[in-house]
Amino acid sequence: MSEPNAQLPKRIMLVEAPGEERSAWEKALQAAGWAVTCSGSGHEAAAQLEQTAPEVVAAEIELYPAGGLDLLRLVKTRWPRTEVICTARTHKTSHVLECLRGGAADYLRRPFEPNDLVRAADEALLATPDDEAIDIEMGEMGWIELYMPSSERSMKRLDKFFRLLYEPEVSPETLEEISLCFFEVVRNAIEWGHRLDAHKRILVSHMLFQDEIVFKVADTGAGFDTGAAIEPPEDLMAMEAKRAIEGKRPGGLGITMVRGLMDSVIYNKTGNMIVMSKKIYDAD
Amino acid sequence: MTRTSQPIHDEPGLARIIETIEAIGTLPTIPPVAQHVMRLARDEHSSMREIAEVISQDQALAAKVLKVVNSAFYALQERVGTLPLALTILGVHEITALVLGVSIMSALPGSSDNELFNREALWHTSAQRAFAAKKLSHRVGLGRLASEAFLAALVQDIGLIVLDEYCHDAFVEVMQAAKDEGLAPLEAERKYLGTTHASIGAWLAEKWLFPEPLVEAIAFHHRPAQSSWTTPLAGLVYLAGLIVNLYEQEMTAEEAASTIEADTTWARLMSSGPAVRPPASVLALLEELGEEIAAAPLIIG
Repeated sequence: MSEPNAQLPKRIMLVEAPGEERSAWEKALQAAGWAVTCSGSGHEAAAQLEQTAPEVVAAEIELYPAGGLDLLRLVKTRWPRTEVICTARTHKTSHVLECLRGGAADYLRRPFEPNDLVRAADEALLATPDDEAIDIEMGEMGWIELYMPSSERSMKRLDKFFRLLYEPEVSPETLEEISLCFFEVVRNAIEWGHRLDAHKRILVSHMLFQDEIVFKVADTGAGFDTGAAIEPPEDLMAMEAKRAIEGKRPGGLGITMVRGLMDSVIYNKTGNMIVMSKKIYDAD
Repeated sequence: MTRTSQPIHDEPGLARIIETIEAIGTLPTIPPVAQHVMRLARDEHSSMREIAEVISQDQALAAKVLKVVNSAFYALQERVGTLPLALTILGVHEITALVLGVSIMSALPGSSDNELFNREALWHTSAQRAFAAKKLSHRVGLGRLASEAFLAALVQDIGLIVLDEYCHDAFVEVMQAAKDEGLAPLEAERKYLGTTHASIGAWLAEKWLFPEPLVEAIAFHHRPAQSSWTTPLAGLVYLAGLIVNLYEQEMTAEEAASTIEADTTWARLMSSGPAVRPPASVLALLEELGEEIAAAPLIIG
């Protein structure tokens, strides 16, 4: 983890051609307590990184001659604890996938507000290389299969990238619903399946096929009691009290919500694999 | 190239059989969907979504995908009725293995009038071996090889279909001789053809540009000790075949467990690398595989 040191300002390197935008980002970051260095290209940044050793690098993907993707690969190989935020002028799903695969902490589509970068940089400080250790078995638009670490931060990072990938094809409301369901089932995998063991891996697959989005989440645990949550219990207060004693997060109605939001939800009998689907366009 | 410790084409009769097959001149080409999947496996330009489209347009193939997903192997709480759900459950590796296996085995059509060799029975046994090989891979810590083992076990006997289709009379004679002389079919092939269906299958697999480990697994599925063990694929396929045989002989689980534990390929597989996890109980493993074999869906033919 990049340990923020109370004595020293947190350091960020902006890899971006000089201009008004870069100046605005620089000011906002400095106002938020960041020490900022700037670099006009990937090559220049690579030469400076050794000396400046920033906790975070924010790099434009399509900077010529060496852009953010090259820099991402270099940084993650030589300084794996340095977090990289990729910024993108043009939105290409192949770039989003490359950033996800390469271990980028975040991906900001331009234009964005300077404070969005500040927020992303502050969040990146909390990330660990373990959160980004995603093994992509298949990564193409419309079909993704990967193994993610069994952690909340990894789940949120993945959600961010999935949203970026599907935004062009899925309405914001549907995307929000899918995201809610994704959080619910992945949290079940983290808490129930893997008992909060972050070293375990969760298999996540997404498939966009014609007018339907399907996703699967599988863990290696003993299984989730899928029958228990189908009907809401009558005494919600008693249920909450019982869950608090058991050290569980409030709710327990997640799967009921998932069944309500998705068109189809199927578990395996063990209860450690769930697949669900939703039509992404209105029938008419 | 150090692909196998033993050359595949070392048998005197193989060249003669190949000559016979090539003289007929109608050896089928690999089906388009299989070509597509192989390109994907070789990282050439091909997309999984395109493969999904191809499957969705091929009703027979789509039906097989649904049949597999709804089989006991996947143990779902509800039936899956749509292809996108089925494909997502299977995942890329399993889809490629299934599509390749089914399309390859279906590429050699025609029904046999050979009373001594029943293709229907072969399709059934092939599916049983395939599901057993897959489960076995998972249960011994070799889950990364599960899809390859499934495919290799499914197509391991493609040489038998080639013999039945292209050297029909000679094949009938061999089967008859095996029956009359009480020989194992493989022994009879070696004695009368100078080669075996394993070598013929490997020759065809090479011709169709199958991945190297798959060619090797087909070539050595009856004699895994002679394979390179670069991957333990031939060993997995052999053991899955052995377990299905034991199951068919209606041996008790205890007897079957003793047979497996005494098998040299089993011993070699168990010591073939740090990833391998010997099962706590071979007996429990065989009982689980027995359920798998009993429930294996018919996916070819």
